[in-house]
Amino acid sequence: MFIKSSLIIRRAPLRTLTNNLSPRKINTAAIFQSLDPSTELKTTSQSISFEQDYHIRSSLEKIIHRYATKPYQKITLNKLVQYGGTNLSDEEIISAANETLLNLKILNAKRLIHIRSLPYMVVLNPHISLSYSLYLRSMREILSTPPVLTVADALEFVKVCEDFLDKHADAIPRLSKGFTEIIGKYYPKADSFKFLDIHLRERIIMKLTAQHFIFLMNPPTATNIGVLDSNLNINQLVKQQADFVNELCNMKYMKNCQLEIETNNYYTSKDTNNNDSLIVERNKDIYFPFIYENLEYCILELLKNSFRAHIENDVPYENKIKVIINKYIDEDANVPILQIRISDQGGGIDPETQQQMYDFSFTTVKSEDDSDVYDSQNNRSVAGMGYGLGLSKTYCQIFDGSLHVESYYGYGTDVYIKLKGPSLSYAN
Amino acid sequence: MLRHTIKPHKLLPTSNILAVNNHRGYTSYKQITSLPLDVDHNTTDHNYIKYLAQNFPELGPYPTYSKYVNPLHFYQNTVMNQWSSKKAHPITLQQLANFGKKLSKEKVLSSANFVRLEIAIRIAKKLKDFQILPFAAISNHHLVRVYESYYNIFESFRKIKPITNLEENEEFCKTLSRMLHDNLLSLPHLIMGSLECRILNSMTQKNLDEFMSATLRARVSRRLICEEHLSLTDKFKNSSKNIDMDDCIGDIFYKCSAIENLQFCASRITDTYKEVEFLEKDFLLPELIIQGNDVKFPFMVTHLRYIFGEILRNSYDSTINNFIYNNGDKPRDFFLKNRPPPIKVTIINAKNSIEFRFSDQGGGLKGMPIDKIWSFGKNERIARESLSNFHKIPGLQLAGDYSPMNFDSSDPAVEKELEDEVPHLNIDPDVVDHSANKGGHEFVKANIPNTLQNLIERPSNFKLNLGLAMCKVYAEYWNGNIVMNSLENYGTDTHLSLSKLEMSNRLQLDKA
Repeated sequence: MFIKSSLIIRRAPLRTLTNNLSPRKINTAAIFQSLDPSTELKTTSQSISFEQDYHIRSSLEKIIHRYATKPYQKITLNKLVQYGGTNLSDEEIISAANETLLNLKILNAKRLIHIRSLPYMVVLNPHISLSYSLYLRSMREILSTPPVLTVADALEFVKVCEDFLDKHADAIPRLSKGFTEIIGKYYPKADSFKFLDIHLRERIIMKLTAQHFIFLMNPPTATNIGVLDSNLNINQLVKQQADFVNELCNMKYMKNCQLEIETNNYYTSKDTNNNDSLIVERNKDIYFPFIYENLEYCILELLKNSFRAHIENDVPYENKIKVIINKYIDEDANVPILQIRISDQGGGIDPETQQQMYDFSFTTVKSEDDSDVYDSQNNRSVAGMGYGLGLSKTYCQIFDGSLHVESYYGYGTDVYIKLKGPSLSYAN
Repeated sequence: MLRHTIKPHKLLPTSNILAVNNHRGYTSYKQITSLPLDVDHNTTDHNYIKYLAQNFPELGPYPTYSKYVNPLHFYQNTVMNQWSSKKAHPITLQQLANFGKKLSKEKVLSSANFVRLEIAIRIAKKLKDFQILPFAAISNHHLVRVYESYYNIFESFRKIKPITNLEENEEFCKTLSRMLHDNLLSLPHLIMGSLECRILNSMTQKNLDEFMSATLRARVSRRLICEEHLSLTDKFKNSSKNIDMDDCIGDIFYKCSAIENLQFCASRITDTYKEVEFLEKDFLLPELIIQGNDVKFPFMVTHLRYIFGEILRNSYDSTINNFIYNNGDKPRDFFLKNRPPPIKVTIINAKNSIEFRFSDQGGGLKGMPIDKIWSFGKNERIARESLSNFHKIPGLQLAGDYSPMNFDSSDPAVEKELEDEVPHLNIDPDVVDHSANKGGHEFVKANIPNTLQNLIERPSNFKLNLGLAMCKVYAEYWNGNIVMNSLENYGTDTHLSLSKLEMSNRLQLDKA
């Protein structure tokens, strides 16, 4: 059934900022008398029926509900790896595209429902409402995208995904600002953190979904399967992040820190007699299948914390920040495990801060300059948005990993990251 | 006269009756399954979804027509926050009554200032309630308009300066009238909004009922406070008029006769059956039998008639439908000669209250769980039906571009329009009219019987499923109660108890 477009009701904005009433007559209706026993009025003029208006609005909400309640398969690394190898068949491409399209609809719808469950005044906050509008717009785009039937459609769909990511790129600082304005006043603190926790996690998954399809079609490196880099050089990643953080520290403090990396790789291999032999490799670069951006973010944030602690507490330059990269195989689950420990001597974290450090919008940085804090795209600030640790933990947990902070107040802090890789049965 | 058309015949929500012409040339009635009530939202037609998707901005937070709900609103709301934390003052009816005696200029001004502050505080509290409910619920287009309307009232009232003389009081009374008028629009929006919320599940049933009850009660309180002051002002200006003080408390409660009002309501209901195509015109209607002695008690007449009207209407509807259904195979003549079983009302004059029992043989509640009766929207299917009927009510075509009145304006054009629409709200001292509240007396204005008629006689085939829920709110507001007991497939008894207002010193208007 297709409703003609002439039925779309476009409302002209009627602002009564002046004292002039609109030329339209005041509208009253017989329904008042029949329902409200304390008044009597006459019926007068009429205008547009509410019924068509209601049908459009309720249909929209029903569509959102329908998608939000569809069964949705949790994203796992195994699922990402599913399309092994670089050559995907046409059917696989089309299938992946449609699956991505459906998942984006579901995830977007869920975000809408979640935001709409916030108190009315919270969503009226201009910053939060901008975030909300963002999701409304992307929902509109996604719903208007036709099903993918050919490889050409799939290539078009890549553009849709890129556009989608573009829209949602820089949303966190705005959301953060909105929440600082409402927290405690219009929405309790605990509920706010719970909301942000879920929201950010699902947002990450939504972006991963889109990014995955883009990379499936255009792999960034030879070893990429969608977003998953099957052979990520962890040592190199850590070194690159350390170099970047040092640049930031030079700009802000005119100081530097040293980093030391130690590796440990523990695996079984067939020796010349085809027997299983245990191999422990030390100080060789470790490779692990994981998502580059996620791990990059975690390492960056943690190194920022450690470097800042060293510099602000005047720790001697010779005291290096030590990183251990440890890899082994979990035989029972048949997955590779990666562990990274970052140890600093930056003085540790006081117990009070430890209570709040995972909370979003919590930061120990005192920012004098707003522009510094909100520039997330270039990550120009050393620290201070208040999302670093919380988001890092979320990134680790999405694929059944973990992040743990062990602090020795007065001495320093150790942070443990643990990541699980995809099942080894996929590894060829 | 034989009917040749097929017309839908709505019974209680679980079934429909169709009048059909059979081959023997007379009408008989058959039961049919429910008609589809809503747009098919399970469509997978991509083009249709794409068309709908263009309307996503409708779900956004800032409606284009809104004066208040815009990005600045969040920050401007701090003022309202301060007001909402002030205390609302509860009043008893005795206080109202005493206030009405021995009027003086000081009392009038004092009352004016009391109303000025009290309304602002109470509206602020209500707004606060709205603001903490989920966005999905309040952003409903109808509820936003209610929010808007309330915010308009708040902004206007908080800016009113203290009233120091009678001229300022005149202006203030004009503002009050306009506010009362403007506020009328909010009730249908409130109801439609809550029905839509029920259908779309934006609020749980429990929260919805609480929200509706609390909002309606607050509404009654505010209107009473305003009307009381208007009435007071009027009385002060016409202190020469002879008003029987024994007959009223605080000037808005007049002594009502139970029997007179019951008969009034019953006759209005039976009149509508004859005018509207609910029933064939010459079919006999059930009798109303009143047992017990008449009681004259002070009450608000419009409320009383509303409560009686809703209960009686349900009894009449179900009695007639049940009678026709049970005798579906009888010839048409049967209905010309046989009355459906009567509706009996028993009046009991107790010490602290007046009790009424309405007994009918309307077939009972037909499986509807008792606690659902009092609920707004009941379940999704019924809510959809109610909303659908709401949309069909003649005359209900409210503006898509409703512009909230800015009643800071003293634009003469506005006042003229108001006078045309609602002549009896014109507070010209010589023509002031609160005659609507005089129990059982003839009305001064010719148009008022018309409007009161509409009160009870809305067409019965537009079942809104809300009457009893609203009744309960109004009854409980006056410390009364309604209880229903059903005998399945036989009939229903409704027990209405109303407090004797003059006896009670309990806080009445504290349900802010």
